[in-house]
Amino acid sequence: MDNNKKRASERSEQTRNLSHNDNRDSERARQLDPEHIAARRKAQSEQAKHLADSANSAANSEKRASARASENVPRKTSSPTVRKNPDNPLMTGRQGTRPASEGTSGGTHRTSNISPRTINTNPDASPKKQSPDQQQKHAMTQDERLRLRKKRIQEQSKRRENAFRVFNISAVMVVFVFCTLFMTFGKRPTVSYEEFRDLNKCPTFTWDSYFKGEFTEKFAAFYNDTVPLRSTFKDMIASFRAIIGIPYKGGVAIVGDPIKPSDDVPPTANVTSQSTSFKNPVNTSSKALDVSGSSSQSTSGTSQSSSSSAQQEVPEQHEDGAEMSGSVLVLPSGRGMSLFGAGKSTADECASYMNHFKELLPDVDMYALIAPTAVSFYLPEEYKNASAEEKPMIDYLYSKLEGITPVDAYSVLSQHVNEDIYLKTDHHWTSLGAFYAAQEFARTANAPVPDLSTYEVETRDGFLGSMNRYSGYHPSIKNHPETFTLYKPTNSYTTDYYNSDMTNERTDRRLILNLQSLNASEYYLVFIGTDDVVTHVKTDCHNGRKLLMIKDSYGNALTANLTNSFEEIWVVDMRYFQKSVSEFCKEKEITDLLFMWNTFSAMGPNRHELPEIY
Amino acid sequence: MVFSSLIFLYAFLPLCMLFYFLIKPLKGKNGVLIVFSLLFYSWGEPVRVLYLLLSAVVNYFLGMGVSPTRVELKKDLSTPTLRRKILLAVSLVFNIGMIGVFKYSRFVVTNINGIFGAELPVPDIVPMIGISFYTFQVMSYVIDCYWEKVKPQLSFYKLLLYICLFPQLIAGPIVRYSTIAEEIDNRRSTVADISTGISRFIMGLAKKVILANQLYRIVDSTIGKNDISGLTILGAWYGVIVYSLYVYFDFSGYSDMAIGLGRIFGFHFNENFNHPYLCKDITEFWQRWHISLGSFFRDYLLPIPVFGIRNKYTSLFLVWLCTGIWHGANWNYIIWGLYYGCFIMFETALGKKRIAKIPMLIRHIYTKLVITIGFGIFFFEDLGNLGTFLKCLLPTNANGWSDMTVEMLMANNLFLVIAAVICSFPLVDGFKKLSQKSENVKSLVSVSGTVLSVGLLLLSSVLLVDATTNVFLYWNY
Amino acid sequence: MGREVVRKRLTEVFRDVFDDDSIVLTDNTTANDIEAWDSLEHISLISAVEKEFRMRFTMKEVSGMKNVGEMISIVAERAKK
Repeated sequence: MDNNKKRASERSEQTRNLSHNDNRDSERARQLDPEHIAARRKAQSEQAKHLADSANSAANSEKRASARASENVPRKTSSPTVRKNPDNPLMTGRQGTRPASEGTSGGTHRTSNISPRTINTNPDASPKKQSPDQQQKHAMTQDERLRLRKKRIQEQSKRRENAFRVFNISAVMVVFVFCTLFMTFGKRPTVSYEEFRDLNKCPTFTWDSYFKGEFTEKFAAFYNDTVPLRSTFKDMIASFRAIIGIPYKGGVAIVGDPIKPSDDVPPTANVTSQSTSFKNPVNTSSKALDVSGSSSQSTSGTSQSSSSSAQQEVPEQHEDGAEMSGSVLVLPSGRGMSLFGAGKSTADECASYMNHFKELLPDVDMYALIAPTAVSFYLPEEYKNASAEEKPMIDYLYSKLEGITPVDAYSVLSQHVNEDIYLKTDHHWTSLGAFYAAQEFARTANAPVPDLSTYEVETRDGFLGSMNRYSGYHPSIKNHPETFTLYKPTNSYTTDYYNSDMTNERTDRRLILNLQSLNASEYYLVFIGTDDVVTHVKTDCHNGRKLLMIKDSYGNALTANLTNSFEEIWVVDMRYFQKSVSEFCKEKEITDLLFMWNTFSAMGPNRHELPEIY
Repeated sequence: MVFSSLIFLYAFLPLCMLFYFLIKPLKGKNGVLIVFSLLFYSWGEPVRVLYLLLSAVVNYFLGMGVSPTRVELKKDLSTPTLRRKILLAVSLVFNIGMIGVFKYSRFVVTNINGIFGAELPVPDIVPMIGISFYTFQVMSYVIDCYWEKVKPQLSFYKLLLYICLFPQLIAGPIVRYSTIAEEIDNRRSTVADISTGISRFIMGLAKKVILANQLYRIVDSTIGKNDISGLTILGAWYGVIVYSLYVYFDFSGYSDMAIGLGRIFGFHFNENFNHPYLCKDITEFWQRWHISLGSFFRDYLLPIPVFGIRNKYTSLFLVWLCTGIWHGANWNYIIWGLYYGCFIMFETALGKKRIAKIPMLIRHIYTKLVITIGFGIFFFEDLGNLGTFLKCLLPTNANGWSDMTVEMLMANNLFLVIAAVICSFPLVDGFKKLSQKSENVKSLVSVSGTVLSVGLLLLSSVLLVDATTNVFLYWNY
Repeated sequence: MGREVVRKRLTEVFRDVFDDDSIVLTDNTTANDIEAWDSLEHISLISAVEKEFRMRFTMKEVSGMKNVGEMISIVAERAKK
């Protein structure tokens, strides 16, 4: 019984030892036949059985030790079976082949098969030192001593190896447990300022959503999205992305999928000079993994945070991505700009949309201010081919207007190019740039023209706007936050807000929020604070003119520069306004109507659907 | 659920390991694994997990049915009884049928409509996660029972454990029943097991998150764009080469994680990859790439006489056709399989002796070219785009040699790509060899290994914060 | 058919398939012993043996035979001249 037990334990130990050696990993690759391995293992155990049977008890224990120890004997890493195709059907199945092929090439890297035997045969070797009994005894003890020493060294080595393994496990487990606790108990953020969106929320469990697979999907999205210290990690990821390569031309980058230019461009445009490499549509390929920060992704940001923030002092996230999707050019100087692309068809659509309002409201003076973006003025010559030109498209669109007076913001702005008229880290114009455009509009509309010297100036450093996220937090942008200069009108006016459906009137609020209290990515929100709102400004300019501005986010900055020009200003965002414009104009006795959009919102291929708010 | 996600790493896995190592008896441990594996699977397939269970139940009975009874064994018949043959046929129909319906019905019907102008309703079925893997596993079990290579598993739970074991359930390796049959009943997680398993898992995680995921961003900006008509020569080549690296690290990384996890729990799976880019001919490539699939077809398809003919070339054709089909319900995958089949047939015809005489450099260039272009075929499911892409590779590409996008990508990812190429080589084996020089070197290597593991785990975890979508390439298999 | 007869004829088949006149077959010969014998050549070999002895191996046998000795036994039993 004892022998059986010993045999059994030996067999399992032998098997275990053979299985659990590290070298096995690389060797397994060479034994591609799984039956082969099963057969081998069975054979090993049979082997152990044979050995146990044929030796006396002393040799047994020695063999066990040496068998274990021999595991540490370096295996030949290149055995003949490597070169030989190991798909060996005739090695499958039974272990009968094993003893036979033992001595052949097939079994050579199983040195452990051989070594116990070798050691087993040592006692046979020693009889060579026959001579006197004493010498024999002496010789045996010498041999034995050598063997014991070897065994001890091997055991020591084995113990060391085990110690390192324990160390390995402990070190990793410490980190692993720490991370687990961190992820489980760490405080989870709810909003990301840099990404300008609310983070995914934890879904509520319903059986229905579970069986549809929605619950687990949303839960995983929540869990992965609201990692504690998220922005720190995002920062680290951006740094990682910076060190896996070298900057191109000192830090130039084009990020995101460029807008595909239409073929139907107006004859005055030089769009044919466009490089063929940027003929790409906006949507990223479905095979894409997450491409963080790419501009076309930002459309998915959720814009509505609870509009219950009564004071409107805290700006709400707004979905600016919709107007500026496409690719972004990043320059080492710290400027990022969206690359433009559009065609006649979108311009035609926009013009006829505006014309329709004129048909409905023939008595209202209408104006269109299509603002160029930074790419018109700051695109370096060498990257000229990266973007279509905005001016020809603006001119073309203006030429299609009927009864609507165009405002030539482009010429005015081009005269002030050397001033700070466009934000570097954001896709908007600066307060100053909006001011020049406002001046031109006032001139065109024969309204009082604002005077810059009457404006109060406030600045704040450290602004990193939309270009930061559109560029994937590219170091060229991220490392160059800019100074935001705010021009505030000094005449008196009041501001009221309404929801986009004209409910929830909030009187006597701020038109311009407190710049100093805003998050580093939100300075532009200082104007009005959000897009999903109707703004009503009543000024001390009593000229009886009431302006309705239908705008995108560029218009936010314009509002503050018109407080000297109109008695009342209504500002609605084309993306959110829910009322009928014509009825609204009649109700509020609107005298002037301004369409204020940048080129991307007006005729970029990714522009918002023109809403039927006639 | 994917291994390379924060929720798996820090919610699922800790719980699983906690229960597994707290519970002492092996039966309990197996129970833990079954529960967590089903949880793991039902996370992604809350309803269709029932199909997995159905497959387990059906194949459980079939496994017993196709095996000889004690009476039959005593008779020592030379050919199996009719009952066994019929049940084998039933199992093949059932299992292949399952994959066929869930994975290929849409493709088949669409093509029938296209070719014959029929207007059959196209079934909108998406294959269950991992169906190709676990179905193949269970098929191998039943066939092995029939061939009497293994004894049928009489305990349903043990068979279920084999089928649904979460390390290899979703994306392989395709583990044969015989590999772990004994370990289901008799295994221990030794210190060596846990240590090696952990290191292996982290290595796989790093391959997937640090290399594969980051490499994919390059693919996305080159051959992955929706409109590739503007692709330059360099753009096409750079994109497809990086893609080839991506596939390797993605898939082998996942296999590493599977093997590592299995090891932690005391299971020893076979290797699935063996540094395939070291190959000197295509035959060798496929002995190093997706080994578990190759050996499956070798063992179960190769011996089938095609229309009664036993011939190297017909067998090869069958195997490579099936390899292509297995990889996807799309024509490009079938072309891909046959593409490799051609090269293998060519090499078989040439013979090993003649191949060995060809200079190494030529052989390496040949293999890398074939493999890279092969992955181009693999990438483009739309044959039109595939054609465009292949033309872009040629010097006649009207878009020219390169453009700013490609040059910028290459600069911005220079070290990443270099690191990826280096990691294609057997570094671990190299270090193991190094540690055999002396005890001190061995210690140094061990400690460095641990430090590296910790670092890679942390870096991978940080990078995972970025991945709000983190799809694994072989997800739809 | 006698084993030795089978062995003789089988040796010829092996030598032909593997293009090696030095092959000698014992009962314990396996694929390990013959350099060119891999899973593909195995198919050619099986095919050649089947043709030579005008018999068929079962699928189980094709992938399950453990050595040449077993092959000889199966052939001896099933061959038709």
